Amino acid sequence: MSETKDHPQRRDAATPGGEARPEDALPRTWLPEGLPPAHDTYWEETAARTVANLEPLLAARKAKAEPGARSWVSEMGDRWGAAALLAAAAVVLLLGVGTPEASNEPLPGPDDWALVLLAVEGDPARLWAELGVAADPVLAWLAFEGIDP
Amino acid sequence: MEEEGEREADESLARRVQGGDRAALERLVRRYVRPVHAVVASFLSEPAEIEDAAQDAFLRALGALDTYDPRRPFAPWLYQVARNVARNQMGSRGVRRAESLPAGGREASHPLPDQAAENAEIRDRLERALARLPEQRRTAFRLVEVEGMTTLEVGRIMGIAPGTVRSHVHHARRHLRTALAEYADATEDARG
Repeated sequence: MSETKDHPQRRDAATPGGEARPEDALPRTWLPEGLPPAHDTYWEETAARTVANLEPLLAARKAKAEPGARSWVSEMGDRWGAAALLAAAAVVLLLGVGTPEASNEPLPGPDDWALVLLAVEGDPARLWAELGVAADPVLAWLAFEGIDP
Repeated sequence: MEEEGEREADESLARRVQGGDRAALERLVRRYVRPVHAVVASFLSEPAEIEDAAQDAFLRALGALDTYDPRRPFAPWLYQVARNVARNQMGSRGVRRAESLPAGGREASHPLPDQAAENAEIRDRLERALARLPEQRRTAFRLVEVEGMTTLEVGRIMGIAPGTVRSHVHHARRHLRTALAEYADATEDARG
């Protein structure tokens, strides 16, 4: 490495840590620049800068590792997910299907009963059919007898 | 940087970092900030590139920490990450630019201009010869001869035996001496 402003305290000679320099070692003046020595303050600063750079990634890792540290949105999602799903389905049904439209034709009132009875020719099943109910003929009779026009 | 007596194993620290422990991350970074720089410096020459690659290596290591098995040694794993980052950066910028290395910086005693020029020339030749060495040999040489690490330390970082580190350094020296034979003869003459 070369000498730069960033590395003001570069060593001016390589010093193999604790090992005798062998016979075949190259002259130190030939060797490229080394990094600052291990206990140089440069490394303290570089390590602090490196850790600062890693903070966001570490925070993401921590959030992933700890279930308790999850965001409130995901917590609420887990707890109320089913209820929210049902509510959403209801809204979709209301908006998509809608309520049945009220019929413009009024149901027969008391004044119309006579006409209805004439139209059905005394057949209770037809009477119920006129009212929109598919009725069994026998049950229709029984029910018809309870009606007093 | 860190007291050896209270040294917690790398693997234990790495496991804690996997869980998001900031203090453990800080200790690992402080422990490996210089070795990682030294490893990438064996691939790259520009100080800014070395700094970028070292920072990137730590980022990638943290990002890929789930792939690390704490039952295995941490240092060689980190070394591989740093090595890959440096290789990629070297590949994206072309071959190692030895010619871009500023000369000088080692002459604390203000050598004569002729001597300074010759030293610069020698270093330039040496950088070129280093670039032709096999990767492991070059890294071992750089870490031992230039950064002053012991063969034991380098072996632990590179995940190889100290004897293998010594062998790499020995062969690197021979290769470099051959490449710089003319200067070696001149140096011997000067000594004699």
